[in-house]
Amino acid sequence: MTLRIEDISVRYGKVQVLSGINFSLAKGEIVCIIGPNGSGKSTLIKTIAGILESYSGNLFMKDKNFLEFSRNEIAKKIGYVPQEFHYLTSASVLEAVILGRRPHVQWSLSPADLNKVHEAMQMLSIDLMSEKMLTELSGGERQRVFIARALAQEPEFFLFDEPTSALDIRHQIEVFEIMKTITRKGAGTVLVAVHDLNFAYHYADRVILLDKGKIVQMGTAPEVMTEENITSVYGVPMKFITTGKGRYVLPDWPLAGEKKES
Amino acid sequence: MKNPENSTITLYLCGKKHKLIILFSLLVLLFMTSIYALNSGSYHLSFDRICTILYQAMVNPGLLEGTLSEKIVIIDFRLPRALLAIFTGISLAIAGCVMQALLRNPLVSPFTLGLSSAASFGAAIAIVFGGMFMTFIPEEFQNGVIILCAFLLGWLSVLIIYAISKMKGSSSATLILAGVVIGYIFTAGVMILKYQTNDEKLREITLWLMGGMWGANWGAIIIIAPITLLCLLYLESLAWDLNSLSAGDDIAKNLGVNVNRLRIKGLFISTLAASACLAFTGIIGFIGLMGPHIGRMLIGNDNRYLIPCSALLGALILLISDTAARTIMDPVEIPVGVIMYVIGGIFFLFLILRGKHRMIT
Repeated sequence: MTLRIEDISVRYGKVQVLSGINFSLAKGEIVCIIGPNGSGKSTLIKTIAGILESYSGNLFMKDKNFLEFSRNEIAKKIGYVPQEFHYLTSASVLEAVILGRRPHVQWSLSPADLNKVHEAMQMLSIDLMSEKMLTELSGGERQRVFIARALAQEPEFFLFDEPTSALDIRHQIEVFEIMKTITRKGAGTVLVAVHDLNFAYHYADRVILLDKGKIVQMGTAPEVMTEENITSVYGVPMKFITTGKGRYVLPDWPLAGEKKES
Repeated sequence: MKNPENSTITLYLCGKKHKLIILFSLLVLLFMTSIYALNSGSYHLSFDRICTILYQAMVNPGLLEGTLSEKIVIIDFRLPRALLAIFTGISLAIAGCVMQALLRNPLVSPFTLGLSSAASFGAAIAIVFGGMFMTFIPEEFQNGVIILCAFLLGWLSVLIIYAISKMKGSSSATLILAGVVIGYIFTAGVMILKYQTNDEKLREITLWLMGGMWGANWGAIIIIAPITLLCLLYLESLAWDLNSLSAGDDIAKNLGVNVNRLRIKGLFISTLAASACLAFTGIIGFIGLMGPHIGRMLIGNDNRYLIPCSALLGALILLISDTAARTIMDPVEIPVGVIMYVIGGIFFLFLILRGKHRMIT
């Protein structure tokens, strides 16, 4: 199944946040959206996730317009993982993951529903902490719980809104490895807004570079993440270094305007 | 089931069984308390006799004619009063429970949101100015005017608070402050009406504000019972949506919930339940806070179980309080609203002193 985004534009009052966004997602790929703060990454993710409802343009799933689907049908296809959870302060891990079954159940959870919950928790290695309260968990563990909640939703498309921005490097790697597992196991397609350019470079099948609400370029990481593109969009000189294990993007210290040490 | 050893499923099923046992126990306790309430007062009857009277009243009311005094005491006075306490307890507790879930704030209740003050103002308007147009309304519908006014003003207060939360965000502080301020404004309105009205109406308003089950009769039960039960069923049907809302608006929307519509219909229905009962009983505070809080301690946060649990607890607390109110200084009756303030105050003081204040913040 593909997800097609056609000419999507979003306004917050008088501010145009997204203009004329077009792309599509194919099954089993990781697509990273990169761009500076305010470029519209989160807005784009939230629009596709059904959170922002006032947009112009069209969203298609399996060549059918979103408007033809009920909220529940969309919820069964698209899962969303936010940057951080400020709520659910008095919920246990199991209660949080069970929420993912909401689009599939009427009132009672069937054994099949519970199996889905268990599978999601096992995949994220949180099945042994079912009874723990979310407030007792580390940031990385909490993020795993929220991903498990999205997995329990059984969507075909997973939308992550800067899921690693509050995490240390170990947990950032963990979250990206989980995304890789989701796509490689055929569980779904991942669209992720991300700040860390190196993670985007190493994990993305495709990269979308956003600036001021418009797509600057879209393609594979080496095609899009060039020194010229990154420097121009982020407004600071950047350079790529190549090691035996791959290419890495770094700010070109000393930055423009600073004196070089002799 | 694929894997019977599956710890997640076992844990969930154990938790579900535990919750159902609690709900059943509360139901049995409510039934026993009801029988006790029917037997409390200066006229005593045996348990068997009360059950027989109730059974005959349901199956063959004609058989009761030979025992008129028993019928009057049990069927005409104590039963409607017990039922009014039960339905009011249910309404206020589910209203508190749902409002807390909708606004993600454990301190919200019909009382703290200013609904009670607004409903008081509505009732006071009907009592003071009702005379002008009551002459055109048949006597049996005159109570309905007070109910309607109490309901409309109660709902207005919730709409004002919702509008404020939309403009300024729904943080605990904003909502509580908005509720307190709106409560003060409507209380001021009640005070103006009390100040300028005559002694007879002043007494009526004062009695109404103290809260009590004096208005209990079968006419009131016929109005309140279907409203309460339908509201309970409807709010129970929103349980999954309310659970989703506990994860934040964004997650709830992604889970397929129409958040704005849920808030409007949830607030409307819970206000309908609370205002309809408050119109008959007057101001009864703390049920909307105590029911859900004790419910959460017993049964957790899952609204599928928490809503019926709060309902049963609300009914139980109010029925016990009302029985105490009419028997503790027999033959003098204390307004049940006063008892509720004392019990509610002690309960929340207990939570703070026992270090459980996390549950109320």
